[in-house]
Amino acid sequence: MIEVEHLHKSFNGTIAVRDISFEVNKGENLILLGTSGCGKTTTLRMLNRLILPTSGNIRINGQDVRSAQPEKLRRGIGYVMQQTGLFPHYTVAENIAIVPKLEKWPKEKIAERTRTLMQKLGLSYEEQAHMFPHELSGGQQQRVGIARALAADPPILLMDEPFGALDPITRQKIRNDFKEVDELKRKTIVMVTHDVQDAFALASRICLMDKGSIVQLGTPEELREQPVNDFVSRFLKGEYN
Amino acid sequence: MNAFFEFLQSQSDKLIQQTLTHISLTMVSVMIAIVIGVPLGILVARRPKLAGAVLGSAGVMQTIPSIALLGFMIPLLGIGPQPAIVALFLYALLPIIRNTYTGITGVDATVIEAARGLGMSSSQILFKVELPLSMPVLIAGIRTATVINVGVATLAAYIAAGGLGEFIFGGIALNNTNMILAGAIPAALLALLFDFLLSRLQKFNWRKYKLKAGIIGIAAISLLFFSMLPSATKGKLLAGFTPEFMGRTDGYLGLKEHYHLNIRTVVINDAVMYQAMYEGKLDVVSGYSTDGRIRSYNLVTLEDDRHIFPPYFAAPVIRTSALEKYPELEATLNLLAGRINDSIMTMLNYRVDFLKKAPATVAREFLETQGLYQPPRSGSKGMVRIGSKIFTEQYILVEMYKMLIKGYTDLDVSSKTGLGGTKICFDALVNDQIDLYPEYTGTGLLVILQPPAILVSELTKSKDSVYNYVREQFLRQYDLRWLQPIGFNNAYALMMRKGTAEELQINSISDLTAYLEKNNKR
Ligand SMILES: Nc1ncnc2c1ncn2[C@@H]1O[C@H](COP(=O)(O)OP(=O)(O)OP(=O)(O)O)[C@@H](O)[C@H]1O
Ligand SMILES: [Mg+2]
Repeated sequence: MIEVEHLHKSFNGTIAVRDISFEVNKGENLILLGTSGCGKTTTLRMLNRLILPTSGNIRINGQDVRSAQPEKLRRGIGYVMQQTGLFPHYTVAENIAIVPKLEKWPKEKIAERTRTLMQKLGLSYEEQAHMFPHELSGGQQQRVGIARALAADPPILLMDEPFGALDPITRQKIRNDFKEVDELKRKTIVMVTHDVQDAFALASRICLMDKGSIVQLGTPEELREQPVNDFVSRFLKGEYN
Repeated sequence: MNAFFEFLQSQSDKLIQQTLTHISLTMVSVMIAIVIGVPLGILVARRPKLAGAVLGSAGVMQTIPSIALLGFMIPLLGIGPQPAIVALFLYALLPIIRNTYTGITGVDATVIEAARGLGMSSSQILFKVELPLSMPVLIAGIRTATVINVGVATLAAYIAAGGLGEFIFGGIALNNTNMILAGAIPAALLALLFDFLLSRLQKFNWRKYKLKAGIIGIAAISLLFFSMLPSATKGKLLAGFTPEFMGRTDGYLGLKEHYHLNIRTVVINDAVMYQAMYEGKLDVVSGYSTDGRIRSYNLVTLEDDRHIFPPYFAAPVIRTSALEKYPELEATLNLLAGRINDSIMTMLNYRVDFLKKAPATVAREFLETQGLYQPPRSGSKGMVRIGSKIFTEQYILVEMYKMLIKGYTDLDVSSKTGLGGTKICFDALVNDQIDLYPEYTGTGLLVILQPPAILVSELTKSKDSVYNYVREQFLRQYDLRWLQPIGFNNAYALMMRKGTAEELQINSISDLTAYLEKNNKR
């Protein structure tokens, strides 16, 4: 579904991502894990062309992302940001409806979709649909951010620290809720986190990165049982958190 | 207070018309500034390299003094609302560009990134995210621009564009406080009103409002207001009169009453009037018979064949206290008495206005040819403060008095030139901020003393009776002394271009009236 080959990215000479290759299969949940500044966000943003790679190829469903029209490409890929990025001047319902509206869905269909999504993500439509983002708690804002990314039912979802900036208890609760959302089970997901527990709870496979490169790529069991080096085992023990 | 409301009532037509013009000038100029400034602000926000250049040049516009900017407009756009709107537009540009730029660059980068990530195009991001989120800052800029322009629009009266400045400057020139307030209070209220309305708009939730519809609305309203503005360039002969002349019984009001003059008029400032005349934007102007510009712009004065313009003989007016302190001043100031007639004064004015000589140089040359010049003495005895209104003749006279006082007494002189109109000079004198200034008998009579109309028409028959009356009354009422007249009579006069006057065979004001009557009937 997603193929990444020899991806490089440097910002004015400083290398952020070097020679990264991986594949994500349909329905898989690939977790990009690593220390702060190792290039996770940069890698993720290259997938929907928010950043252009210095070199390397990205194909989604066999099509090179460079040949796609960026707006169209992005509407087909849900995107959840590290700092929610909710529109402060839009209500919760309007935030969720952004992509369906861009896609010119009929009004009733948008309303219906917003209502079901909010419900699935544990938000109350009656109470919260017409609130503005600043009136919600951090955890609720994260849920709205996820609902917004899911709204137009894109087959692929990119998530950058979707549980970032939450206290550990809320984090665990949302993570558990998240696992229960049926819509998410069908999606091909690339998720960034620096949290080992997130990774083990949610990953089909983990891509552990350090200083712009992949250190090890494999299932959670493979990483735990056959770490390729000392960095991997120490990282999994939580020594870098 | 009652007198004020009576004034408002008697002038309500004018007041309404001036207020509407004032609103139109302000709104049209601000709207054009929005239409041009907002896209410029957006452009600058997109290309920060341009920011310095664009904001810098808009900033320079704001540092140009308003009256100078209006002056620059005349050769390009003539007189009337158009040049005023362009000038006001240039003033409004900076706050609007700057606030658009600040607003857009201030939008949270993560929100923009989210918008991109969701697949919005850059124009969708602009209209749905950046503009709505920067709207409060943007409207703050429009607010600033509007309030500035309500103030600056009073100056539009200088170039025949109308507005509340007509009352304000007319009132200052005529020493009529009610008239000043009739212009100043509505202008202040307008500023407050606009500020209030825009502050409401600032709190508005712009997401609910269709921005594109708003822009089309703005354009439509601009056009509507623009079409409402009076045009200054239609028809046959057009007269440009100063605010002072417009309001005086010995000015326009007298012309209407005694000559039945029926001509289209616009209100214009003395400083730009002659230029507008020269550019052919005006055909008749009100001026002073000794103005050097009569010579330099090749104008003729029309004969006042019914003698409605009272005599304006110039003489120094001085505080009695100053004369008591320095008695030698009287003889010194009287050295000029009877020395300068009309044509000499016109010539002296011409040397300054047209030949661009310094007033001091012209004053000294004159005193030297008259054998009156003496080099300065010690200047140690005390300080005499001389004031002047803002026009050439007064500057020259002040320089002459300065040289005479320094040369014939041990006093030093400080001059406060540029005290605006009659009222400002006179108030400065009464309040002991200056010791003397050159005044004209007619002005003293009609602007300061304002005796009943019957007495005025009686007095103005002879130049001596006016002089004697103002001398007595100034001493009695204000403790001020009129010294001996200098000689020339700087009376009001109507002027035309020499060529036009000859072509239409107009030599006197009666000729002008006759010509207009003939043409209005046709
Ligand atoms: N626009 C940019 N310009 C210059 N350098 C950048 C830019 N974006 C990222 N970088 C650099 O690239 C490197 C990787 O950044 P990135 O944001 O991908 O890290 P990350 O793994 O997501 O970290 P975190 O967990 O803290 O979010 C960092 O060193 C960062 O400073
Ligand atoms: Mg990151």
